[in-house]
Amino acid sequence: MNLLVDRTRRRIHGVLFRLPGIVNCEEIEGFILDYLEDELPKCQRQPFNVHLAMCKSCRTYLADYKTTLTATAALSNEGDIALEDVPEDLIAAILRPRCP
Amino acid sequence: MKGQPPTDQSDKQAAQEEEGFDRLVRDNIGWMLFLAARILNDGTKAEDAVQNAFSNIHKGLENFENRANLKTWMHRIVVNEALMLLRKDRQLKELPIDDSYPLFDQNGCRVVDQAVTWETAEMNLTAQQTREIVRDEIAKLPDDLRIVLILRDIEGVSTAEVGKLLELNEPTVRVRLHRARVALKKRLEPLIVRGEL
Repeated sequence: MNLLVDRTRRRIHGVLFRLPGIVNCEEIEGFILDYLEDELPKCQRQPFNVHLAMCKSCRTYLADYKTTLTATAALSNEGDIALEDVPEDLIAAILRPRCP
Repeated sequence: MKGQPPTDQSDKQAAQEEEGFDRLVRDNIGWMLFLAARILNDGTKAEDAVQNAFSNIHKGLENFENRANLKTWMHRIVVNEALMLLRKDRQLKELPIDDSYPLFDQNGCRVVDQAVTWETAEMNLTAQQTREIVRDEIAKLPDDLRIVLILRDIEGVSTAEVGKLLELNEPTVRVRLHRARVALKKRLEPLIVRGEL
């Protein structure tokens, strides 16, 4: 984003975020984990949503955060190491102490 | 184990138990090795962790009654062994002061970062390639963040359980989890910007 545009945006938001009931981006940061786990208290949910509705940079930030979570979660479906790729001497070492 | 045929009832039972353990090892060693390697970032040490884990599993198996949760129990044992080796090898690094955490101005407004670009002409990465990049970027995170991310977001371990495994209170686990995700997001931004994720 153009630096001038970003600076102007922040100047406008700086005024908006001082309005009663409006939280700023820094406070939003602290809500994200609870929000995504659906644990954000009702009293904080509305200010969170209002902020998101008027702050594009937080919307983008949250979307990228969610994308990162999805990409990470995709690793949980990775196949494990196939048995033929497990060193046979490791299996032998695990079983050895119990051999007669 | 598979030597002389059993001569009496106790020998027969022992032989059956050993055969059962042999099967248990072969059925589970793949995912356990994979998990230990992911935590330790080291294949050789992962083998040590898995060997120690199976030793504990063998000792505890006789008294383990909740067979429905056998895999969960084994999962916890191998994670514990891997963490013990990690701690022995090096202290889990303290939270680093890095530039991945978002910046805010004096009004609490988010300062938008200029997206980093990677010097690669490659576009349209395959799913396998993107997974490899994500895996590599996770491996580069500081240990204290990486472990929490792996356990919570990949292995699906609950926050409370992660806290027990790492001897941390839940708020600390949550702070580290958020920081880990933010640090990873920053590292993956070039892919996100290009729509590769």
